[in-house]
Amino acid sequence: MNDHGHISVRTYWNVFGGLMLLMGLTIGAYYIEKLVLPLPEIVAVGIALLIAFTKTALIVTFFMHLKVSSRLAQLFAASSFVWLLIMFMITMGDYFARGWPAQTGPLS
Amino acid sequence: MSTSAIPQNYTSTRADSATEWIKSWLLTVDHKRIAILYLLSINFFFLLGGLAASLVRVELVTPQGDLMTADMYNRMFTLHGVIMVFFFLIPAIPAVMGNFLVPLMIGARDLAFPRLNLLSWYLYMGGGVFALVAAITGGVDTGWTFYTPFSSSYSNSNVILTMSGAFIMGFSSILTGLNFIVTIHKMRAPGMTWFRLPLFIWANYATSLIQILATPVLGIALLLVMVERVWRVGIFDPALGGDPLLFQHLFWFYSHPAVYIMILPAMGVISELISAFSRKRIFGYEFIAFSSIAIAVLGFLVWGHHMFVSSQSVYSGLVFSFITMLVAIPSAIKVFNWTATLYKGSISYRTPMLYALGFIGLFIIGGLTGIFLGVVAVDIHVTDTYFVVAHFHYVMVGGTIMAYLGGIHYWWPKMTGRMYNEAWGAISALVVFVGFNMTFFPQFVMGYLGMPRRYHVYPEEFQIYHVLSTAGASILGLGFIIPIIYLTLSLFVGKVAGPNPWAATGLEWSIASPPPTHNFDQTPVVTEEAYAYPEDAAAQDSDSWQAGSHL
Repeated sequence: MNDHGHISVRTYWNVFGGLMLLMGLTIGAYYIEKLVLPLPEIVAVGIALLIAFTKTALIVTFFMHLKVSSRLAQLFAASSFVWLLIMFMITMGDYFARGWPAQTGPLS
Repeated sequence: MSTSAIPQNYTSTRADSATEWIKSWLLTVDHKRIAILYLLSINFFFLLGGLAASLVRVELVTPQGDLMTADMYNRMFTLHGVIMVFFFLIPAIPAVMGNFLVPLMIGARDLAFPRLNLLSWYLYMGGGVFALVAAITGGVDTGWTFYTPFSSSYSNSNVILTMSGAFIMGFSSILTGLNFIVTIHKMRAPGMTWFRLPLFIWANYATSLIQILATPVLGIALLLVMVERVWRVGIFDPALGGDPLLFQHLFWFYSHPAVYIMILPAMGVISELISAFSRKRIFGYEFIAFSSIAIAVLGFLVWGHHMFVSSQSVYSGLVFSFITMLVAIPSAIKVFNWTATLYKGSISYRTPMLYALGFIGLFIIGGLTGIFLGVVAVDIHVTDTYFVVAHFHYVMVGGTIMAYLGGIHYWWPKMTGRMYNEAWGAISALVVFVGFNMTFFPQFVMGYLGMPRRYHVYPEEFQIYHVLSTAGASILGLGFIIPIIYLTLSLFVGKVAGPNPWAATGLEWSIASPPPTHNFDQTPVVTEEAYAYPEDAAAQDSDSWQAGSHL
């Protein structure tokens, strides 16, 4: 059983560097969107979420050792994302189907 | 074993001073000692929550607000709710009985992460201190549900302090769940296959899944309320551009499954009790085991039934209503299987069994009225009335507390090595059952007639129901105090229990009472299924019965 596989210190530093880069990207994207290239909100939020997901994936894979964990641990980690998806889907399902007045709401 | 030597057990200590003795408890990593720490602290919070409930009930004896102001009343029922939900009902059975029994039942020496286990208790106590300080310094008036935007923008009470308490306690809950899952996966004794596990273990496993999947959502929801309250970041308050329903979604995504954190371990306890006191293999073992998992999964998909009148989408309401009905299936599977276990069993009405039978009756009433509330049309009529209050007390109190008390009585000889007074045990079980029904049944009636919850002044027509309810609460309170007395006395004057006073099956009954520090001298090898009572146990009992026989 390979529950405690090895991740090298060099990899940790590389991931740390990647995370710092992505943080810079998050801040940069905010200023670019506000000052240089105004984007529709849905695109801006989409980009921010994409960067956030990438950061999360790096942390979960390397810092939380999922890359070198057992299949069972990986399954548990994956299940938490399924649960998160359920929460988002049902909550957003309500949000979009709530019967907003024509001038407001998520689809205006 | 020599009869003269005092066996070393988990309560013995080599400490030669009071300080050493205190340290040996407060720094212990023994799951059994930690269970006792939880037992004492959780019971303290239960009494505190009960005190707040008593004051609420006394206020409601008359239709006027003559004991406390409206604001004080708000703070009192919030204190009751916060303490009872976060600091009693959620941790009660997993933290006390789960901690004590999970390693013993699966043949392990301890939980997988003993230090993490101790940390869980400290986090629990830390959260409790926050909640207590909040209560002492003025309390909080939002209700235990912390609905926004009242909690985030308008309330002038100790919202952040109380939320911090619940937030910290949440981590205790997560760590306990994590510990149980890893222990059950990794530390089962040889031969202890999944389908030989006691159903209490299945129930705690399902509960642990909920604890680690749902509790972080509550944590983040409470954190966001604090962020909005402190920095005015618009998340939930419409005036700041937020959405108040988002809070309700996040809150109930945890807090509905939290009901199953309370009730699933309770159901695990009941499976043990029914089997032990019927002297029969549990009927439909696999169905009960998988129904625990089914309840845990379905319990995640029904949270919107708390929001039928919240301006949630009607389409969502319909879907939530439908899925809510599905939860009835695994719940009914359990009740039918327990009842089928009783059939042709050798039933003995010992104290734990009285609590178990009481549980079944109360849970059926709580469950069936849950079906009323799962129907949108009926729910709209009774939302925020005492009907809802009665319903969730039947499930959470009638369910969890009956099982908690039943379990405490069942495993008390194992925990302490002593038997308690059986007559007083039976009396207190009956007093609790009568007091409980007298307290909460009138609330169904007045709720259906329109008595709203969370009001300290009410029309005179409802007084009779409130008086009945308060009288019942007094009886119920008595029912909770009696066991404290005779259980405490049993520590000093109780008969020595021996390893297996109930002639029950299960690894925990194969070792001394109280258990040795390391549980098992040798790793046990399991060769038979759980609840392996002889086929003719009922006939044997019948043949050997004589007046005064216990079993």
